Amino acid sequence: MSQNRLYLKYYKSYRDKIYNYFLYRVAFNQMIAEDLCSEVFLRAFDKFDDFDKERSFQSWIYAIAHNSLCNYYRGANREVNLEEAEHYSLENFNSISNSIESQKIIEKIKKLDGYSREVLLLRFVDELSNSEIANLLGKNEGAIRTQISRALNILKSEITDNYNI
Amino acid sequence: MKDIFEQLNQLPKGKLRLKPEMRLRFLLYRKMIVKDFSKFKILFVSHSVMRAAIVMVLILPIVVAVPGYAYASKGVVEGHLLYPVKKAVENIELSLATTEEKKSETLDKLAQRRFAEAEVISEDLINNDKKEDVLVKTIQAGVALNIQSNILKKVTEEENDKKVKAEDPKAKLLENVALNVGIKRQEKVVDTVAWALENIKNNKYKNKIKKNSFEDMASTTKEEVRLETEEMTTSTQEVMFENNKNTNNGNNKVLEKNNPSTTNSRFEILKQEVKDLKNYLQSEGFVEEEVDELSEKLNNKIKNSENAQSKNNQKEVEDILESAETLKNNAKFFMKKTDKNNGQGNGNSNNNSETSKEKSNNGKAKGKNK
Repeated sequence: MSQNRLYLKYYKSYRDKIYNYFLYRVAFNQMIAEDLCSEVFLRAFDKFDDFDKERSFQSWIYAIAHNSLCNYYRGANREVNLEEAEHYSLENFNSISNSIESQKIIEKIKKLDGYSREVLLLRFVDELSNSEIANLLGKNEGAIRTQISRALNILKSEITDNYNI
Repeated sequence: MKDIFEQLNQLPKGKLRLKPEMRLRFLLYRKMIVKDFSKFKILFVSHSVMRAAIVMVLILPIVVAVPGYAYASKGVVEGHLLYPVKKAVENIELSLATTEEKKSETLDKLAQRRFAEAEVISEDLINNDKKEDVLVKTIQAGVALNIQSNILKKVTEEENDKKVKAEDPKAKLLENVALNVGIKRQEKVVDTVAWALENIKNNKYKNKIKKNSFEDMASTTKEEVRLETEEMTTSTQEVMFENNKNTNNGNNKVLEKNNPSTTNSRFEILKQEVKDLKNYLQSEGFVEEEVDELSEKLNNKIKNSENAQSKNNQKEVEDILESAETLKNNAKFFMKKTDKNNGQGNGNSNNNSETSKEKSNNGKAKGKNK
């Protein structure tokens, strides 16, 4: 299979996942998520000749997406205004999901600390394995497992508290 | 309450919309095409030097081949489409010769090339009489170049003699031209070839020309040299005859010629020589018809010069007598031998040129003694 055809195959498999990855991290702003998604796939194509086919494409493309996101936030005037983010999230969330339970759980995830939130999103939204998350975040697998467990406990207790109230 | 894992797994998943997806796909395809074509990017380079280099590589064979063919081919003669190219290349060659010696060598080479062209033209003459003028012009140009070459070389009498003995290739070419032209051809053509032969073979006029007239010419630009060489061809003959008349170099014959009182005896001597030549050529087995033609041509010349003498036109007398003597001296080169005397047929008279020349000279000497 030629390089181009192989890349197109990967593109079809991962375009929605990458889009989703950005969507959850730019406060559900679809326009920004689309732009970032495009940028990732175009950059990845340029580097595809250097990509080691023995490695997982998923880890590679998520690493590129992670870098793109970092660059996006590092850019001037990209500090996310919390109120604005809230607004985006609620507005767009309504269009994406009609599940009240999902809306609530997203609200809870948003309130978690950055590290816990990132680990949970990677694990349950992006559906990466523990080892892939560890690779992406530069941690060891055990630490990731612990962090997920801790974040889930916090989330659980938050939800239980809500019900109790 | 649902299990927390279930809730997390059921979080909504976004999907890339059609429009941005198509846009991204388009951008990817474009990148793929550009990447594939980049293998041939040498053909699409924007760098001006590279582009120029590619154009040069494509054009070079044409630039080299056309002048190369024009220069090297004998078939490119005056009137040919590529003849100006040939001349241009020759001009460059001449301009590259810096020293006088080199220039002389180049001019000699160019003279030889003119005679080679003349040979080609003369071979075509049977089919195309219109080429006679071209032939005359080419031969005259060749002689003029040869004269220039000799002037620059500052050849001495001894060197000239050595050169003649060593069989100048130019003479050989002219002999072929003479044979192709034949004695029956127009007088103008025959006279020109005979004159050129006399000039190249015997160096008769070479050292008698006023040096300045050609040195000036040689020092002008190549283009002018070329033009003058061609234009002066008609005047060359005159210049040479003029100088012949004016040169006081101890040559008894020239002195004799310049004295009008001896002209009548010259007619007589010439008539006798023509008779001797006719007998000699007949005995050598040259074609009877051609010998008669030659004899008629020479006698006509003598008659014309006698008429001019009666009109007291000394210059014309001299010119005609000169041309008659030139033709007489080189007559054998125009003639073919009969098959019965020469088993190999036409065109082989040159094989005996040395011996026949000697005999011819003996004949002339006898005539003079009378």
